[in-house]
Amino acid sequence: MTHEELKALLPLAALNRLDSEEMAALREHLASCHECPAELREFENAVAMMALAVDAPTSADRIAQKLEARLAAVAPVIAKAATDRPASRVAEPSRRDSSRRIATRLSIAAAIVFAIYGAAVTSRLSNLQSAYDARANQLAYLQNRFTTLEHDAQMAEQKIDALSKVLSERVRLEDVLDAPDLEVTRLGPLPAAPGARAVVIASKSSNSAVLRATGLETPPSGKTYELWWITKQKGPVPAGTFTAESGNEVIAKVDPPPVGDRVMLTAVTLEPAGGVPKPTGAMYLKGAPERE
Amino acid sequence: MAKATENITSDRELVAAMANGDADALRALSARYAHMLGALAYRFVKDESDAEEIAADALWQAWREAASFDPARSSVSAWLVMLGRSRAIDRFRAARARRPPENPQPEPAPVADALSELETAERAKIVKQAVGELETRERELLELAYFSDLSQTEIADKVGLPLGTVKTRMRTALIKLRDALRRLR
Repeated sequence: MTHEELKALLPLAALNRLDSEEMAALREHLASCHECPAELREFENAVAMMALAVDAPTSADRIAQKLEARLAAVAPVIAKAATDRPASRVAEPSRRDSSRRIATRLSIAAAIVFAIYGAAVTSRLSNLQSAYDARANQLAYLQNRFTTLEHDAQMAEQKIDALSKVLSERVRLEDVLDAPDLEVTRLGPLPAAPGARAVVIASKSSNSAVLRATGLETPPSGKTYELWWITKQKGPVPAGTFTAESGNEVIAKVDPPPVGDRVMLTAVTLEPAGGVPKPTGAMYLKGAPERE
Repeated sequence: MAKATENITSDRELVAAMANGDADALRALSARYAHMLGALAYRFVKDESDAEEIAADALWQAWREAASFDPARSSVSAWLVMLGRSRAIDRFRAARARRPPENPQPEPAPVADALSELETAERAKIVKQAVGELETRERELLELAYFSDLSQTEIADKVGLPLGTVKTRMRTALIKLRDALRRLR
């Protein structure tokens, strides 16, 4: 990498956002460049200063108190010297030397005790840290697993909703099939839907009708399929709209034939969404009622 | 207000003194950076007490590791922030429960000296102004880079930008921030 390319890495290096390869290349460069180390330090200072842009309720005094507590715990003489300094100024020279020797011995003793204790504490802290890390990893894994299971549950609910809808449509079909006076009309395909088939079953006694269709493609956006009873007296009478999904059968409740009129033909056309009072679009299916 | 360059020299001298066991040097460094470290930690843990503990931990670690600080590799402020940020991220991840006080509190320490407080307040004002000059998206990316433990890819997903664009805009944002700080000091 050229000097300019490496120099361009300095801001991200200050943010600790370089990958390991970039960092290694930059470190090597910094060892021999006179310009980049100072610039990196300036970026690091700018990054460090960002903490000052944060308003927080923390207290520098309380932080200082915590430090004093630690200093007092590990080196009592150091802490005591900070507060006793004015008194030591007026002590006799010989007494001051003696105090200093005692203080030095005590501080050495404290340092030895601290070193031994510190090593044991460090080891224990290291073990605790490892245990914490393991628990944190375990928790992260469980949280991920929970999220996955939650997602799976949502997908399952959606499937249940879809199946419930299909089931209710089938129940509707069976209700009509149970009626004693069924009129069946089979619809065959037209050039617009060569693979489509449909059957409409109607019952005057239950005043209900159901359509079952297969082979219809998903209608274009803004369009819907509409069923028509084409009668002798009134001509085309709308019987309801329905949609389809390519590859799936459709079961839809439709309006029964008008009372007091004779149905000559039954048809399905493609119409604007919401349906229309008279057919305007291409015919996809047609058929005549099966007369006894 | 003392300029950053004077502080850098003074900060190094303080760390050198800390390496020799001078606790007053630690107190002086704390007076300069405790507020900043506490605010940084608070952004992660959102708890005042935990944030102050983290800041104290960072300064205590600096006290213990003063002898190994290399001024050629980093400024003191960047080193302290690195210590503080690392601890804040660890705490944030572990979500450790608040520790009850174990010992009776010692006598209150003297309040951080007025000059340090004034310097900190002045620097905070300048930094806020510099950050305010960034565009919203630039500020957002810098804050995500600095105040979160998200990877670059996760940041790119979060903001809905390609990874390369995120890196370029982060770089641009920090250059602008550095230039603004230079101009405003």
